[in-house]
Formats: sequence, C-alpha cells, structure tokens
Amino acid sequence: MAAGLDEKTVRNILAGRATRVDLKTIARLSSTLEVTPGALWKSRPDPVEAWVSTAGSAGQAEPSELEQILADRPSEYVDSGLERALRSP
Amino acid sequence: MSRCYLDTNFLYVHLRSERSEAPRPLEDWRSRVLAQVTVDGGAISALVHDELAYRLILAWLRDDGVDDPLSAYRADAQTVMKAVRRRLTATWRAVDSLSLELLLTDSAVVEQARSLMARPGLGPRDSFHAAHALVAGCSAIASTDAAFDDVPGLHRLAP
Repeated sequence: MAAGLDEKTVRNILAGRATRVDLKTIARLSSTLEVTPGALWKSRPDPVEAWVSTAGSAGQAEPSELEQILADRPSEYVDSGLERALRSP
Repeated sequence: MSRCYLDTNFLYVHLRSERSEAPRPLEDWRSRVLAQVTVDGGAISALVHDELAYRLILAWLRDDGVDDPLSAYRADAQTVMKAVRRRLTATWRAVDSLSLELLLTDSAVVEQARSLMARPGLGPRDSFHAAHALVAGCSAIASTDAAFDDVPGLHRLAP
C-alpha cells in the first residue's frame, strides 16, 4: 500500500469497524490521500437518536392544534402556496 | 417496505410535540412512520420546507401571544421573519439531522403532477407532493390528508 499501512487495518477503517486508530496511521492516510484528517470521517447522526432529539424542538403545540391536524380538519390559515398565489399582483 | 415521503403535517406535529406530551394517536402514528423511515429512509421536497416554515411561523406568533398571526404576517412579513429567525435556523438544523432525502423538482415531477391533477383529480399542491413521492419511487406517504388514498401506487400511513 502506498501509505505503508496494513491492508486489513485500512479495510477496517473504511468499513467503519475500526474503533481505535493511532495518530501516525491517520497522518499517513491523510498524506497519501492528500486530504485533511477531518475528511477521513463521515459522521452521520444516528437516525433514531435524531428523531428522538427533534421531537418537540419547535415548541410544544396546544392539544387543540395537534387534534386539528390529526383529524385533518381545515386550518384557519390559507396554505402557503395560496397565500402567495392569491396576493394581488 | 420502501422509502416513505413525509408530508408537511407529519413533520409539523413531530417538531411540535415532545414525546411525553404527545396524545396517544400521534405517538402511535409517529412510531409506525419512524419504524419505516429509520429502516428504509424518508424523503421530502422543497414544498415541505415551504409549508413547514409557513405553519411554524404562524404557530410561533401565536405562542408569542399574537392574536391574529396571519394578519400580523401579512402586515409585515419581513419583521416577522426577523423575529423568528433563530427558531427557524434551529428548525432547519433539526430537519437536517433527520438525514431525509431532499427530492428534486424536475420535468418528470411536473409531468406526473399534471397527470394527477387530471386523474384522479388531486388539487395542485397534493398533486405535486404525490408526484415527488411517485417519481422518487416512494410507495408510502405519511400524511393526514386522505386525498392521497386515491393515488395508485401510494400507500398512506395515516394517524
């Protein structure tokens, strides 16, 4: 390997199986690939965790507000598309 | 199971209800949708961003004690947008964290939407939502809107 690293080590890193990677290995990889060390990581939030943490993040609705939406009752507001489309030219 | 298109009303109630505060039907709905989305992925379109922002802005005005949010928005949209800027930024961060696919609006979507307006006769907005879902290969749509029940190839995950 151009980086002088063990193939199995590189495979584990690429597959996300590596749990500990020493600084020399990171330096060799980033130098060989000509990228900054940060580019070696592609962190994605855990999807389940993301849904849990965003529930209610825009404020807590009144129960009546949620009931209206769940029952698909017409809103008191005109929808955003109509709001713009109906604006006088 | 396959990818699920998230209608605005699903994301809205999700972002506006903490799990401990949510009524049972909402929590059941959220669980069923998330069981599919976290495995097969979820998708939204720019329409969802637009509608979500609009509805949240009006809701936040009401939260802030404004009696008539729509009139306040119509009277001075720019001032309102400045007042909600931080909350809106936080909301986009929350939406981005969900790793939903943002579907593009291209000629295939427009063609499909026109077709859905003609048959089964969906309204324009509903047609565009459904068209994004169908063109992207989503076979499910999470929505309170029963109009989507008439769209062949689309199964509605309803509350």
